[in-house]
Amino acid sequence: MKQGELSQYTKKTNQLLKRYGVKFGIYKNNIFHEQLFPFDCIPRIIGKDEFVYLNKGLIQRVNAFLKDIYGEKKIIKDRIIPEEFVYSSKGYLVEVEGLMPPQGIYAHIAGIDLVQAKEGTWYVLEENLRIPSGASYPMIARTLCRRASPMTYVQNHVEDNRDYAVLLKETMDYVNTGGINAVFTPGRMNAAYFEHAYLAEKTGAVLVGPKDIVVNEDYLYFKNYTGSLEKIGALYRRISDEYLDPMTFMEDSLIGIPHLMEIYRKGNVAIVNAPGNGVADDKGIYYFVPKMVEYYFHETPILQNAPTYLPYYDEDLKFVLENFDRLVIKDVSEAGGYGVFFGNTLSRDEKEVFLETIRTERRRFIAQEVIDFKDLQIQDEDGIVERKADLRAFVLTGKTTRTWKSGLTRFSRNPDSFIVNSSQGGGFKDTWILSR
Amino acid sequence: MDIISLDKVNNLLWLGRYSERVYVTIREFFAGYDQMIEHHDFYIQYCRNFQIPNIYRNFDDFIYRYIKDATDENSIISNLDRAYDNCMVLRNDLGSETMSYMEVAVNNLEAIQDFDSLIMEMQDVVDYILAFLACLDDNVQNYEIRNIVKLGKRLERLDIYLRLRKDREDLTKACIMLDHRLKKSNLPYNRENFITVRKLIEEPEIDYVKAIFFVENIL
Repeated sequence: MKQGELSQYTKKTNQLLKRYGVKFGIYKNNIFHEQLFPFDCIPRIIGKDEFVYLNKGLIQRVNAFLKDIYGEKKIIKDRIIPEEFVYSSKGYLVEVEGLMPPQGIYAHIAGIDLVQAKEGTWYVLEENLRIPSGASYPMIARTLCRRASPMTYVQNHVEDNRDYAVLLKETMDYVNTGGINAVFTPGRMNAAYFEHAYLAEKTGAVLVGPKDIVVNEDYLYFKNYTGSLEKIGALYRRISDEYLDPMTFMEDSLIGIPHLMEIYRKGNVAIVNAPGNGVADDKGIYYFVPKMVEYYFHETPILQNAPTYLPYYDEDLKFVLENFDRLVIKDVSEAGGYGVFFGNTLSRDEKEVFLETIRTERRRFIAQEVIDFKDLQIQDEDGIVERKADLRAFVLTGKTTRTWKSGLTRFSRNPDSFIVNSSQGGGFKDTWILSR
Repeated sequence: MDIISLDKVNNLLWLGRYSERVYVTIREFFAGYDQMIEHHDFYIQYCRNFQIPNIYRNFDDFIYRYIKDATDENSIISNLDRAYDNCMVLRNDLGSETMSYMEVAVNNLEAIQDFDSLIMEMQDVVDYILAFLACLDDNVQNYEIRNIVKLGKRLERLDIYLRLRKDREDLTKACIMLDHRLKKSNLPYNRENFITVRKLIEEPEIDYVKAIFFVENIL
């Protein structure tokens, strides 16, 4: 493919994305703004064999841990993971203890963030097993790119990524306990509202807000304006666990569904993804994922973690304190690119305060080697430039577990930055998986 | 989808009302602007006709703010924004393709810079609103969704025609179209109020203020 040719379509495709309202919301000074997610036409390209390798490695990383941790807890009993790491995780929910979700699936949709080092090795940076977002963007971008430049897809053999909605619908249908599928959004002021509405449209699910649904006699219902009720069998919720049910979690949540957890416990509705998954995508637990793969599957982990240190362990704490300047420190309770600190960017005073915080709150942080990940070409105002980029791969579990043959490639628009999040000004690319 | 929440009914109805308000307003503006070309002060009469407060400093200020000032609640852009706000939450009911025409209408109105060719540029906005409505009719399978939007349009048209003191012929036509939609709709409405409006329109001297009151209380 001649990338120079493709890049001329960036402007045209961004115009189309604007036309289709492909935006995300952001709060600045407590005021909600919607903005376009800048798109770059030059795709990330992953070869067929490379995808086979990634697919195997990604599938290894989802599902087994959650079933164990809310069930038998063998991994704790066998001392693979210290129990305080599990029980002190903000994502661990005691309310889910002993609860088996429909079809035994917890992580229906996993968003796994990877980077590729310059020499080609892929590293997993983090797993997102709660409500990973972003699949809708490459999905609609591909549709629009094909309009802007059809010849590109004649000349290149690219797997079609517009089947994401089919995979998602199959996942929802598989766990559905009887009734319709619904996408549950907190509302238009949510950062990912476009995605909620778009995925509802493309999966044929109903988009519902807090006022539209009710628990009635042990089932969840959508309230029709005529007064009739329609049973919901699978609820793809796009709100966090803590807001989900005011009777079980935050009692002042106005966007939750009272008694949802009661009927979930009875197996009368599937919640996608399952409540309690946060314990598995805790940045502290991430450290143990390769050990989990060995423990549960007796397999060697295919994908590597970025070299990670847990100040919780004395040896790692010593290493972090001695090598602080060359590490990136992450607050395990933060997300979206927030709570990430590069040791070499802090002033002497800031560093002292930070080191003291790490010494006193050892469970709160992880430290990682800074991976000099591969730059990707992007079309900038000045021409083609190179920027840092990551990849969010989506792994969906229904009857089988499959990796979507695409992904969200996010890039930093700032030449000096490793932060690629849209909320911090990043853009996105399509991810091509070659079919030959 | 055969089920619609109460909130969605509200959004559909107001989507119809605001899109009609913008459509009728722009068409009325075209006629008014034609007079303003020679008689700049006609904008004062235009404001009176629309029963909107004349908060404008002069003709130029009126033209800019009435079209593009989103903080002016009577401006065309603010009404289009309200149509858009109601449309935004209906993506999965209307479809991305349909929605895109509303998006383009907003983008085009926001992008108007050249006030010398104002009418030409605003014609595009009208075209996109009509394309939006046509697309809705063509793409949306759910009869009730289409009907509620059209009910909103018809209600708004009668309301705005009364405010503009349109003649009996126009009002009767708007009334018949509204009646047609009310009968097709499954929404509860006040038939008595509608009949009162029809009677008021048939009176030798139309009491516009009273008729507006009853129109606003049909639904």
